[in-house]
Parts: sequence; C-alpha cells; structure tokens
Amino acid sequence: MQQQVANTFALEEMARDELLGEPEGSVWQRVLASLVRDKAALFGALIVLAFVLVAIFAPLLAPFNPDTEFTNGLSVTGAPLAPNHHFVLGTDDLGRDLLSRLLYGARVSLIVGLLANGLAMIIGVTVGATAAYAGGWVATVLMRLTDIMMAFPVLLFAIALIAITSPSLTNIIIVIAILYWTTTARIIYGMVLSLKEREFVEAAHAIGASGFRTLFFYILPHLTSVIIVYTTLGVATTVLVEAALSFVGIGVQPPTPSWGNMINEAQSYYRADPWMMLFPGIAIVLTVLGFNLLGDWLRDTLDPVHSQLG
Amino acid sequence: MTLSARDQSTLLDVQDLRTVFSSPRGQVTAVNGVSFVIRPGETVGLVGESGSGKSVTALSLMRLIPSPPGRIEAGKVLFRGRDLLTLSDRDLRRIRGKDISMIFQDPLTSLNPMLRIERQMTEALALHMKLGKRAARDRAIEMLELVGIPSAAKRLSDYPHQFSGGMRQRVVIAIALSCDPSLVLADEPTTALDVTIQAQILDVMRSLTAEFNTSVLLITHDLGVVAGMCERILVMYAGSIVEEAPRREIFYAPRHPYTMGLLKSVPRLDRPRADRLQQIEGSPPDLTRVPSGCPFHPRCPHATDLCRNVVPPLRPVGSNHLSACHYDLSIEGAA
Repeated sequence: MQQQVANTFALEEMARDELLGEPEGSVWQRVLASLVRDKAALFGALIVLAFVLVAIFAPLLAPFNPDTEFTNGLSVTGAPLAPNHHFVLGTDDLGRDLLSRLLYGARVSLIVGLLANGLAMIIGVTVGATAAYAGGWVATVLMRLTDIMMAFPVLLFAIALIAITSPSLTNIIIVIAILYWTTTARIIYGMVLSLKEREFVEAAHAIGASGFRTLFFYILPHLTSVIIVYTTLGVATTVLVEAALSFVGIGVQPPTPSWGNMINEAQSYYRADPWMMLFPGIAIVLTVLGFNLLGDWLRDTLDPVHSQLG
Repeated sequence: MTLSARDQSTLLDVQDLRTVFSSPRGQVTAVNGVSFVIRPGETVGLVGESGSGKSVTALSLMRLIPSPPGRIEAGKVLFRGRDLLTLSDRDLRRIRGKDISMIFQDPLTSLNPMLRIERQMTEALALHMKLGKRAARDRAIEMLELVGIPSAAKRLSDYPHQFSGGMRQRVVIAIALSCDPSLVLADEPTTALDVTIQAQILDVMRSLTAEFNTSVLLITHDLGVVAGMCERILVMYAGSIVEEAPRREIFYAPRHPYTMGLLKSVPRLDRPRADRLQQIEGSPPDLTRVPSGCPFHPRCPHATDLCRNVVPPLRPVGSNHLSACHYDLSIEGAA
C-alpha cells in the first residue's frame, strides 16, 4: 500500500527523467565514438597504439639483431650507410641496422615512460592527498618539501643523482620519478583541498565512514580522470627526459639502444649522415605528439559531469 | 531544563549545547545553550531564520562541525543515555549512519557525483549491517522501492546526475533510512526542491518514519513544512531556543513575540487579504555581537528595559509550553 502511494507520486518525476533522456550505449562505446569524432585525438591514439605495439613486438618486427655490427653495414671508407633496400633506414657508425635499433629503442622509452610516470604519480597523489586531507603541520611539511623539490634544476639534479649511483635503467626510472612527482602533488593537493569541503564528504562522515575511508573511496574517484590525463601527458615528458639523459651520456648505456643515445652517437655524423639523427628524432617527436594529443582529449572527455558521457 | 529531560522514554537529550566558531571578526556563538529532548517515534521541528543556528545544532549533535574553526564548547548530547560528545571517534562512527542518520539540504551536493547510486547505498549497509554484496544490493533495491523510485534495480547503476532533483532526494532518504536508524536529522530536506515535489518528499518521509517508528529532527525555515510534519516545534533565534510547544500551540497560541512575528509574516489563504504582509522589523543579530539581554529585544515591539538588560530564561508558560520571554504576552491576534 505504502509502496503504491509512493509509486504514484513518483510517476510524474519518472516521466521527467525519461524526458531528460539517458544516452544510448555503454560508457566505453560512447568514449570510443567520441574518439572517432575527434580526428586529432584519434591520430594521437593511433600513434600511441603503434608505439606500444612496436615496443612489445620489437623482436618480431625488427629485421636484424639491433646489436649486430654488420661488416656489410659500412661503406668501403667505413662510413655509415644511407637508407637502402637492405638496411631500410640505413646503418649507424658501427654498421648496426638503424631500423632495428629504433624499434628496440621504443622498449626503453615505453618502460621508462610507464614506470617512471607510474611511480611519480603514486608519490605525487599520496603526498598531495595526504597533505590536503590532513592539513595543519603535515600539509606544511609535505608541501614545502614539494616546493624545495621544484626549485632544483631538473637536469643538473638528475646528472648529480646518477653520478652518485650509476647509470642503469632502474636508476633512471627512480630519478625521473623523484623529479616529476611534484607537479602531480600540487595539482592533487589543490583538488583534494576543495573536494574535502564538498557536502558529500560530510555525508560520508555522517554515515560513519572513517577519514581514510572517505579519502580513499569518496575523494579518490574524483581524481582518477586527472591522474589518467597527467599520466598520459607525463609519458611525453618522461620520454623526452630519458632521451635527454641518454643524449648527455648518463642515460641508457650502449649497446642497449635508446632514442636518446642513438642521437648522441649520431652527433659526430650529422653533417654527412643526417638520417642517423633524423629517424630517432622523428620517433621522439611522434611519440611525444601522440601522447600529448591523447592526453588533451582525455582531459576533455574524462570529466563525467561536464562531458555527460557517464 | 526541558520539560521531560528525565522521561524514561527519551531517545535524545540535548543539554545546554554551546557551539562557537572563531572568525577573523571574533568569536561567533552559533549555538548558545540549547536544550531539548526527542522521544522515540516523535517528529520535532526546529525552525528559525537563516543563521539562527539550526544547522549547526544538527551538525553538533553528530560532531560534524568542521574544526577548526568550529568547537563544541559545552553541553551534553545524550543518545540513549550515552554522551555523543565524549564518545571515542570509533564508537561515534558506529552510531553515525546506523542509529542516527542525516538528510542534507541539497541532494545534488550530498550525493557523490562520481559514484553510482549502488555504491553509495550499499556503503552504509556494508559498514554497519555487515551485509554481503548480494544482501546489501537487495536491501538497497528494497529501500529505493519504498521511497518510490520506479525500476529500482535498474536505477541502482545510475549516477546521481541521471536523476531529477526529487528522485535524488528520495535516494538520499533511502540511504538515510537503510540502516533502520532510530533518529534522522533532516536539515532542510525540501528546500532545494520545487513545491509539488516538496509535498511528495514530505509524504514519503512522513509515512516511512511512521512505519519504522523513526524519530525525526526536522530543520527548516518553512513553517508550512513543520505544520504538516511535526508534533512538537522548537523555535530558534540567534543561537537559542526561544519557544518550544506542541504544534497546535505554536500556531494558535504562540507566546514569544518572535514566533508571533514569524507567523504574521506568513501569507495566509484562509483569511481576508491584508494590504501588506507584516514583517519583523530589522534583521537577525550579528552573532559576533549578540545584543545584551534578550537577543530579540532590538526587533521586539514590546521591549522594555528589563529585556535590554536581562537574558530571559526559557520558562514554562503552560503545559508542555516553554517560552523565553520576560512577559506573559497574549495571543495578540496571531492565530
């Protein structure tokens, strides 16, 4: 009886809800549709997809072993070969196949990009969210620490750190993470600061949720889109930083190919054999562009309230 | 001391509650010595203007005052004999949402826009009733049906923005009642809704709280809402309760000049149209500088020197009727 009465009351509102209309299809279908509509984002997504596939399947795609120094890979004068039918992108100064090295180089970039960024995100989100939610002296200590970290000249700091330890892939990842969590921490700090004043946080307390529970289950979901966007954009930066570190010789060590150390090796030949520098350069530019385009689109799309996708 | 503070059947007994906020302009006493009781199954109205301390009172009961700048300075909130103000955080969390739940003013902001309704509904159930996923979901569907949301099972997977305002408030009510609380604090539950929806929401609240024998503290500035909902009414002004009486007496025999003023400022359909709606002169006091004596005296048409100097105590003026006025004012045509 009670239920019937309530249902009668609800009919009018139900009609209203129907009029507002629910979008068709699942969230992911709509995300995909929106991606296809946005040509720039689609281009970015395809580059990123290609980059990831290349990195994963490099051993299958590469025509040669990237470390093999071919005797027929150098000219009679001992100079690198220009692109030809055998070595599609030419060879480097040691007679190694440039295409194979480029494909394997994508692995380094992907690993550094994902791990360094993931680590930076974890540190950044933890620091920012804890500072904002706890407030008081905790916030002061953590955020001043962030400020101090931000004040360091990045490349100099990286060189110093790696000089102390040793240039290995693990150390590069750690160094990049240590350098790049600060921006995330600040963004998350600001967001949590405003989110924790919202009424639904008070409502969470009112149903008996503890502080940690509130932060983790009620506030964190609001940060996922930001985290995804900044991780994507961060990969672009990280790829560049790894290339820069490898370029100055403290990144990935030869003979392991990375786009940065390939450009480094090409330095002395860039007048006579410009392709040695050109192809890794193009690879870096395309990858960074792809992640940036995808990141921008994600930023516009992932906010469920504004985009009405959800 | 309220009328029935020692009554055995008291569910909530608030004694001399005092909540202050520190602001750059000085200390604001938002709740200044408020005492009242709520009995099991009873709906009590707390009315007053904006800034009179209604919401702060409700938040203080649950210790949800943001601190700093807020602080509960004194008083007791006895819920079934236990003082909520001295309870450990852990024990208090067990009561929040389980024995005492809240309905907030704006369902758009009190529901989490990023989470599906199902998550938000089952959260309290999992937390307090120790229900499994399946059982919590069934209970959530049952509650949504009770508050009159059609195709409840389907709508569980929707986000708050996919509901209309009235539907959202139904969801909030369903969440508040899902753990079968003995007391619901409803802070202006219908203020954000339009009038027709308001009536429906109040109907849902009234019938469900009657069915479950839930006590309600209904906070509102709308006298029409309390008239239809509450057995007993507390009138608040500048952080203090100035009058407490059963509904009929508040409306037909108010004793405090502020209550009289409030009633006269409500448009009435059942009387000849007056030329102008009466108003209470002046505006509510700045709570950093509450007037001496009776806080209402600067706006009171009957104020005397006594009112300007001595704070009037809340005293019995009839059976079950308390008023904080020095004088025994007559009905004065307020009915």
